[in-house]
Amino acid sequence: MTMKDDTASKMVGCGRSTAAQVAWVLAMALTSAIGIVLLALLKPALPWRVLAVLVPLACGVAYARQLVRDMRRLDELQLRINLEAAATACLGAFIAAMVYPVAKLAGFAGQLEAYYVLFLLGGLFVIGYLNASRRYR
Amino acid sequence: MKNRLKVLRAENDWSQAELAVRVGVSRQTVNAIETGKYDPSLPLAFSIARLFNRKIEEIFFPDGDTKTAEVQAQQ
Repeated sequence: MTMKDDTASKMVGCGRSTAAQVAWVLAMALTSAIGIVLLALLKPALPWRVLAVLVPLACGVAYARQLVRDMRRLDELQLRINLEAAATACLGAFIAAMVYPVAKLAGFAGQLEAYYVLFLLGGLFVIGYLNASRRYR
Repeated sequence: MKNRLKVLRAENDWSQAELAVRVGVSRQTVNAIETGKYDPSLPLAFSIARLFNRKIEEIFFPDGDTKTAEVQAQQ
């Protein structure tokens, strides 16, 4: 197999990689949910409480490794689009984090849960991705 | 930066997808380069030049370089 063929086959495999990413995110969400329910209902001993934290954390680390591995397989334009989307998400979350305390004190925003940041990051990443994709189309 | 990628690709009767596979990028990347919306990295430009058996400056040239563009178009 030549280098070009190898690169092409790696890119063809991106679909499987994305499925692996989704699987790790789902595993993280599922183990987190199970951990929350068990911790709330059973009030388990310390080793189980540690386990309830470590299992979703391990899934998160696996997801991060898969994400980085997949990004290294992307071609240069796809990588640029992804990085622009990530920059949009990070910048948007940064601005929101800076403005939120002021908006809260001014009475324009109520108490928000920390995990809302996930939805903000996800939404901004999608917007950034679509915007960058459209620019290079 | 302008380029003659579309012309060279047509001369070889390759689709964007075929060219993309040959240089190891996505079809979207080839399309973005051809339309001038994306400037390739130096390694990718070298790969493209090697594929067409040309020098980089025979394929890619600056926006304002109309002289080079005219010469390349005549060849």
